Amino acid sequence: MKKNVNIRQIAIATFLVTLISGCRSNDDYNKLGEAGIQYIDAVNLLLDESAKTRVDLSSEQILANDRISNIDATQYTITADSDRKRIKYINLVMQHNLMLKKYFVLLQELANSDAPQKAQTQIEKVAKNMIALGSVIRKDAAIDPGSGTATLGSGVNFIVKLQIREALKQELEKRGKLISNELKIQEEALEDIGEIMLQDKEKISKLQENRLVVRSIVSPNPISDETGWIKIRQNILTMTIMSENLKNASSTLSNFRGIFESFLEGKSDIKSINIFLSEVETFVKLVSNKK
Amino acid sequence: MDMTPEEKQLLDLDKSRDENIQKLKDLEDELYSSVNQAWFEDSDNAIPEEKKDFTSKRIKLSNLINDLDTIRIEKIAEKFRENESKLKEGIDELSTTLGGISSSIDTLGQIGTLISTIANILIVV
Repeated sequence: MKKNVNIRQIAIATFLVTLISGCRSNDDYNKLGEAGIQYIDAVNLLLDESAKTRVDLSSEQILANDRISNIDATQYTITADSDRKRIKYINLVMQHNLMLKKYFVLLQELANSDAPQKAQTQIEKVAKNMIALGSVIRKDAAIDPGSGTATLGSGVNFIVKLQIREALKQELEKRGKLISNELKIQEEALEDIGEIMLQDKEKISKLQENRLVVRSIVSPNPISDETGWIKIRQNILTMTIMSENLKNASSTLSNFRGIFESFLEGKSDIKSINIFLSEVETFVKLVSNKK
Repeated sequence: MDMTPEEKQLLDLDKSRDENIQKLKDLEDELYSSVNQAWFEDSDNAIPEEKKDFTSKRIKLSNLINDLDTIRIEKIAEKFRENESKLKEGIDELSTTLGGISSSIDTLGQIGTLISTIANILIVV
């Protein structure tokens, strides 16, 4: 009878705390944290690619100018400094993103915390030891702690889980708007940096076409490796299409703000987060294949 | 949504700036075209001073365009910087929550051990 009362009490407490902390499970928060981490990694991959693209473009330009008239040290230094400045600001954005990633990592750690299991183990240990201590004090025979400690342990497990969920909910209530604003700036960054990168890649494509395709075909000497020349030409002429695909794929990353805001409003579901994660995976593969 | 005159002015300025940058980029494309490149590379077509002058102008233009694009990225970095202290606050609070939970469980474990030790001492006594 007493056991039934305990279970009923725990059920009522569960219902009340669930009402207070909303309908999100710890797994939902975990998934949101995972999506945030994957999103930031993908954005930083794009930023890294854009920095490398910039350096590749200026290298092509330096070589093109040097073929006409010898580049001097000052001209080279001015170009390199201009590149370094670009890399510096891209790096600042990447560093900031790592901070945002840290936020999502902690959110996920909290949602994934093994604290409920640990608390259950510890409370069961305390209960058993207290029963043993009581027996010693009363000089009784050792009493079997029975299933009471297990029920107590399960209850504590559940309550700690709910407390964690409440902490997660409060955290997002407190800083949800800030993170949403962060993601809005990320969208601008993806749009601007994506556009700059696409233009840089188009210029690289033209310069490489001139250096590796046009020069050899207009030269009076026959091309020594014709198959190689065809392959190079194919790679260069399709580079722009690949870059456009990358730009389009990067725009799907912007969907994360919608997912995050829906989550705050209690609308987003695990399915939409999973779809987003698979889009991020496609984007990462696209960037990795280009390397 | 109606814009204030100031907002409209800013929008027009942005548009005008983007159009001017695009003109510079089109000029850069033209200067680096394969036709221009081939013509200047040919030693019969231009004297060294002309070549030097042409490449100097191209380098200046390319660096100017790069710097203008970099300003766009710099502005994004500035916007992020404005949020940084609040974001750090969130990270610190989450870390504290995680640390607090871990510490409570450790305390619970220590209480269990203490009770067990007391029981063992009492048995011996």
